Amino acid sequence: MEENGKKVTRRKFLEAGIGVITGAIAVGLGGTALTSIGAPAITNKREGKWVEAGNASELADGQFHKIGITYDAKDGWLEGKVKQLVYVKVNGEEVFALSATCTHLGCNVNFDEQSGNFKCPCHSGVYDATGENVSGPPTHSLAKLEAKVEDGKLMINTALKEA
Amino acid sequence: MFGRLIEVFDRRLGFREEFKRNVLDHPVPPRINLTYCFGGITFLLYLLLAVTGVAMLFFYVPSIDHAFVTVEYITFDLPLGNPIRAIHHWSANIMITAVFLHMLRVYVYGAYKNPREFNWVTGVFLFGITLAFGFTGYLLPWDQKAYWATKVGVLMPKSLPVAGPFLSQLLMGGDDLGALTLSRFFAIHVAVLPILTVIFLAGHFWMIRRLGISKPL
Amino acid sequence: MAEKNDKKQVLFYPDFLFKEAIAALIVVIAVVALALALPMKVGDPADPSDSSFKPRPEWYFMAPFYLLKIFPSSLEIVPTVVLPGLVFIALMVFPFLDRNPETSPRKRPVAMALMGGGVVLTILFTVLGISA
Repeated sequence: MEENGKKVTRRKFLEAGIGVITGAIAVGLGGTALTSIGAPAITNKREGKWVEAGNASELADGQFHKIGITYDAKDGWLEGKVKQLVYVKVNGEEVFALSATCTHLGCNVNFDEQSGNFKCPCHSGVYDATGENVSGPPTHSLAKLEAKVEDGKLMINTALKEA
Repeated sequence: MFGRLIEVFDRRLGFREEFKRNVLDHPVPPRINLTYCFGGITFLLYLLLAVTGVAMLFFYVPSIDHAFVTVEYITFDLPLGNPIRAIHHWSANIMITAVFLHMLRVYVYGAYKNPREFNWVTGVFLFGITLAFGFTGYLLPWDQKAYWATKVGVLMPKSLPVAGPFLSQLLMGGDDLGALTLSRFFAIHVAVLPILTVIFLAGHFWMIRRLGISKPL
Repeated sequence: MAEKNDKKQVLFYPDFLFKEAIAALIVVIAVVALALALPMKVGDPADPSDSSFKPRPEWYFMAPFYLLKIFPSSLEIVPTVVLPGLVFIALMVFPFLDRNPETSPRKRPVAMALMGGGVVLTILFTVLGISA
């Protein structure tokens, strides 16, 4: 009986040892791998920078212009060109810039000359000329960007100002 | 919760009983010593290599324009990237040693003898696969060391008459060590060899189970 | 006799796996310690137009690398193809050639001598290759 009891405790001890060791290795290793895989979700941020986007005088007609800007940025391991689409309206020294990214699911919106609204081709979201969402699925207005005219050049800051 | 879920499936599949009978409850020879652990250690190192390898697959790019940059990113920028790459590196080196010691133990104990000849044969294949892992993995960082050591390696079969030059071209994917060499070494390292390993390892383990661990001296 | 056997019976789980788990723990600690003590670096990017770089293989390919150095170039095929090929074929067919059922190393002098020679040569060429 006592022998039997000893045997059971020994078995229990061995089983617990195997469980703890394999568990610790699995959690440690898996945790390390998952941390590393997940980390860019937090660390890989796009930082705003001032980018030149053409001559202000050529754009100064009070109309929206669709401008694709290309600039050097860091995206994970890539240090190279990234692209971004903005709508810009220049009135003399005054510049108004909107991000083209629909706040619903990220498609690029198009400016509709007839209605003076921005329309999203994906799910028919509509924004007015100030970027306010007026109909369709979007619940937020288009993001604004800082923009200015400097030495006759149009300068845009790529950081999005969420409304 | 998890236990309940296992219960649900076990009631239908009965795998717990099967697993207990076929894997856990097998008697092993008494007086089995620590040298019997080298095979298990090799398997453990393979698992470490697989997990760290998959983690690096999320970041590595097998292109001659980006491979070096992505390895730099893993090494210096990625949180925990350096330990992951270092664990991959050290596990690989220790694995070669563990395989060697495992083979020595099996040899000294005469464990390759009838009826276990094919345990040994699958083991020799696994040994070759391990070396192939080392050779193909060495090129992937695309640094000077990788490039020149691999260049010597892929040109070695050239001295074989008739088929030799073609073998070298086949390894390089052309006349020179370049973009296609890197992609094929990558494909072999992360897809072909892991699949081959699983196949030969399954055979290796299955035969150990069927034939038992050979008796110690 | 049967009773004695029952008492002595050792099971794969948990008896042997416990030993394996301890060994696994030691190896994992060693690997992690090495990884933290000697973090990875990167070399210079591959440059096919460079002529100053002396290629060296990983230590486990040092033995054939060393042989390649000492063999005359007319016999280059020996270390590059013939020897590695022969080693693999020999390993592959060895269990079928050695039909001696004896397992104790003391009673297998020929097999032990073959192994000893092989191991000594492999280690010797590896060390010579590394120090060359």
